[in-house]
Amino acid sequence: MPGCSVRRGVHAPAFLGSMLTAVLLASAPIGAQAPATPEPTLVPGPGMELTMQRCVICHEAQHITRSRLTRAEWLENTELMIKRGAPVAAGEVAPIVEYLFTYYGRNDDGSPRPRPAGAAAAAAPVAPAAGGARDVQALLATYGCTGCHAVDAKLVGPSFREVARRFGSEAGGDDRVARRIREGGAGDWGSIPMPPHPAINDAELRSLVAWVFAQR
Amino acid sequence: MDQTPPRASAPLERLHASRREFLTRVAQASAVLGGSAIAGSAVAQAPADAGAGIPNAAVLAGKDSVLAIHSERPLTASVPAEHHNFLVTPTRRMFVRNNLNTPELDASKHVLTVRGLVDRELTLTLDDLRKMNVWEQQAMLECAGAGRTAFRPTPRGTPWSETGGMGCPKWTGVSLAEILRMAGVRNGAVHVAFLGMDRGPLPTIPPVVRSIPMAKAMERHTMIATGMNGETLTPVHGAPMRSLVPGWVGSASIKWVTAIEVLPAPFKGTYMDDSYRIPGIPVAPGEKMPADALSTEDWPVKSMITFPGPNARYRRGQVVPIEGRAWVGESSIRRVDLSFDEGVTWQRASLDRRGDRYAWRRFSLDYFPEKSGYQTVLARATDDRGNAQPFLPAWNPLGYYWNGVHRVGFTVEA
Ligand code: HEC
Ligand code: HEC
Repeated sequence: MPGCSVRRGVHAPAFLGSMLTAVLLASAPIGAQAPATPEPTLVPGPGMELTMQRCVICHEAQHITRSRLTRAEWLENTELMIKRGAPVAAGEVAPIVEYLFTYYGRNDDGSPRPRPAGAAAAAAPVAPAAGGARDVQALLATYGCTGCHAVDAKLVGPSFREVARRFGSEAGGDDRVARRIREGGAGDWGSIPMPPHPAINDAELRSLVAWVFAQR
Repeated sequence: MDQTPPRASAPLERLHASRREFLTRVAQASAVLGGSAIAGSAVAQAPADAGAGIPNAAVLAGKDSVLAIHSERPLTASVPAEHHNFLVTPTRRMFVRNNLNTPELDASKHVLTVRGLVDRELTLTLDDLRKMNVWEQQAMLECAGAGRTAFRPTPRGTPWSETGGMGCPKWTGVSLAEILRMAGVRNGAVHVAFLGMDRGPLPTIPPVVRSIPMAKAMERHTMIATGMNGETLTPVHGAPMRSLVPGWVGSASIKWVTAIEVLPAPFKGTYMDDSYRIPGIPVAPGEKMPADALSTEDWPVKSMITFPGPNARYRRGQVVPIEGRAWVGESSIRRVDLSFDEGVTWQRASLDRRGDRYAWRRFSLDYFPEKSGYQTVLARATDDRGNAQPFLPAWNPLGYYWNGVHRVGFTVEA
């Protein structure tokens, strides 16, 4: 939706008003494009990428950013999300809860926990970075890509086939897609953000892009 | 929505293997749901491509701009009291509370199955329902978490404003009791579950299923609604049909209902066991929900001041026409009292005549301020069981049943 530059999710009437105007002005069918303004994301810190990848699928990061919970409550909440279908592996619960409590925590007496200084500290790797290029299916599983993408169907993100059709034969398409996988971003397929994957090494990235482009 | 049929390429096979993994997890999830037929069939019906449903922009085009959006994924939105001074909540101001996406359903193809402990399974279309006894009632629908942000500390969940998350429109439909009688309820029936057609972006997401006790299901005001405010239901409010369990927490009323199952016990599932529960005895913030927590059902007595809005200005000698609404789940409003001195003394407001069983009631009082400056008005409703609204409702981990006394401030200029 061009011209809709209001920050999403910030607040009500003004935002809604402009969104409605945008809808009225757009001559294309309403469902054709999603608003391109990205949703707000989580504050950077160790565990942020993993939390984005596992938690910002069914709902906005706002569900998290507006909450201030104790460690026990974040653990309970994460277990509830798994029951609700969140693709979180057993070993990922602890780092996610640690991140959530550190940045969106509340003390047991109800007072908010101050965020640690230097919040942008190095991100914890999602999975131990492996050596060379490997089986792409293993990569897709390791990095949780299939939680949001399928070859033929749009899930949270575009289908891999759509991506291949759009960028597969474009000059520089591979660099662009590689950058998007590693750095994340939003706005090209809808407003839902693609989380960053900084732990992916170059060889893995090349295999993933080549494989995605083969899905035409 | 990408409708391309799957190709039989090798990588796809393997990707499907990972989808199978998902489906296995869904199956496990439905085992958690108690392995009941309703959960199983819901899984079978889950579309391979969840798609995004109807985009929010299209939904919100049918809403007034004063509706505050609380979240976009899933969409939740409502108006506060000062934008709710209507005898009947207009559709454009009715709150929105989705769990997942807004599905786009074809009314001519939609069917409602009735099964479980019944003599005859039924499959009803919209036309079938229209041939039954269709009637209209005005009735409250209020999210269990309405008013949540007034709790301290604020529990997680949709940040409804103090007076947001509810409304009282008119509903048209058929009594659920008529449908259940047609199916013939068998001995041993204890709860009735509703399954909605809404879906989320992942196939692992359990469908929205809630069940209610038999007595409430057979109470004639509980209905399968097909219309709102004299028109067919709009998609975001559950078109083509939804359950309406008036006076009870909103989650009991399932939008886009496609199956009704009569069960020998309450349904087991995440929307029953993990949400919409409240400790019988208050717990400290941060403590786990006790295992014997209760399922939320009918709303306690509540009221709000719909006029004047916050910070209105009046001249000395001018009348301040106070107006509001009061309601309660399974009782009736006995009285509403207003205080202009922060609760030291109270004056009885006049109550409009009682309308439909589950509709809110208007109260009003013409106030003649004797002094100038900033002043406040408090409203406190009392029900027929003698329960009055508290100043500070009991804190509970998920922030349900906020029914604290509502306060509005205004200024009288000298
Ligand atoms: C499979 C879908 C899905 C995923 C993935 C998911 N959630 Fe949720 N989440 C839900 C649903 C459904 C709700 C309830 C929505 C509502 O009530 O509006 C919810 C609600 C929440 C809430 C609001 C509190 C509440 O109980 O309603 C928070 C906080 C939250 N999620 C955090 C997370 C975190 C942290 C993660 C990652 C561990 C996560 N979510 C992953 C589906 C998901
Ligand atoms: C939390 C959900 C999620 C996860 C996990 C995820 N993606 Fe995405 N992905 C998205 C969304 C949403 C978009 C669309 C972003 C946009 O609109 O620009 C996207 C876009 C893409 C694109 C299109 C890039 C472009 O240049 O437009 C590719 C390729 C892609 N993802 C690959 C991957 C791979 C590979 C992984 C695993 C390493 C992965 N995704 C993990 C949600 C996700």
